[in-house]
Amino acid sequence: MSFTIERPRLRRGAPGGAPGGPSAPTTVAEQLAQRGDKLFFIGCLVCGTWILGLIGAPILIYGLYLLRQAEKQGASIRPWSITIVGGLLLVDASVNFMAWSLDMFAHNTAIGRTLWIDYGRMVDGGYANFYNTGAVGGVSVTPEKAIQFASCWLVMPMKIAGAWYLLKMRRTGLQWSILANWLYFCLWASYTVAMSLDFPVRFGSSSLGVLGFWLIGGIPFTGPVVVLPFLYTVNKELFTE
Amino acid sequence: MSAIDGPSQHPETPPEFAVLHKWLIRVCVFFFVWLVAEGAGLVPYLIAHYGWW
Repeated sequence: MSFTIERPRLRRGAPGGAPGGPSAPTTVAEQLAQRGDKLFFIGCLVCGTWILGLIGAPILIYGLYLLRQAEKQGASIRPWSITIVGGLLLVDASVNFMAWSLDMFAHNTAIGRTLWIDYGRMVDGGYANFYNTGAVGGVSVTPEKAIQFASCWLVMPMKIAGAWYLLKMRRTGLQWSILANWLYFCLWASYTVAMSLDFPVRFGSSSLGVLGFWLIGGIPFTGPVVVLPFLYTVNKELFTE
Repeated sequence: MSAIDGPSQHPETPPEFAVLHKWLIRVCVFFFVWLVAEGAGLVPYLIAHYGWW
């Protein structure tokens, strides 16, 4: 089985462009694609903040629409599968970076308390009980805070950078996405154990209980289980060095 | 789904893994839609049900 694959132009250092620099769009369709790409990236990050999610989702969808229009007008864009996986990585990383940072840095603000205490009442009671009583504020469940630090300071910025370069069709993006997703997988395993051990005081006191764990915490965070095999079976030749 | 499936798998991927690859993309689409819906809808839902703090 073999495929003939035309390398997409939506990447830095494309043929004809300055070495290592962004290739300037030459046609209206390519300009449209570049604009759509930018809006898609911004929309994914804004959508993951949760607080501004209602604004981010339309931006993201509009970006996808522009990309589709550009493709119809003849622009050579990256495979849609890479767009979807890159978008998934970005929204997921943004949730675990920006939204969780509100608990870490903005736990005294009305918006931070509203988001996380309300989240605690519905999903994870650890955020509703004894909120802001720990040494560093925010959620007072110790394992949760430790995983939050690892996510916000290390893994999620790495994942966002990896996804950005993945969307730019750079080999670096593929490699860093694989690395960041393995780290995320380790975090997810630790997170699941931590939540299970504290289940009675966390999910036992929330509205949704165990259903909340699966709906909010369980299903979306299993992303790396799906993304990693995809990244290992994707055609590496699509990505430039 | 044909536009999303695309020719993105490695040329030497065995056929059974090629099928897996396509299904992985479909699950990724599901997760992506889920996360976007969650991102857009969670906070309005929380505020409507539990109010401000």
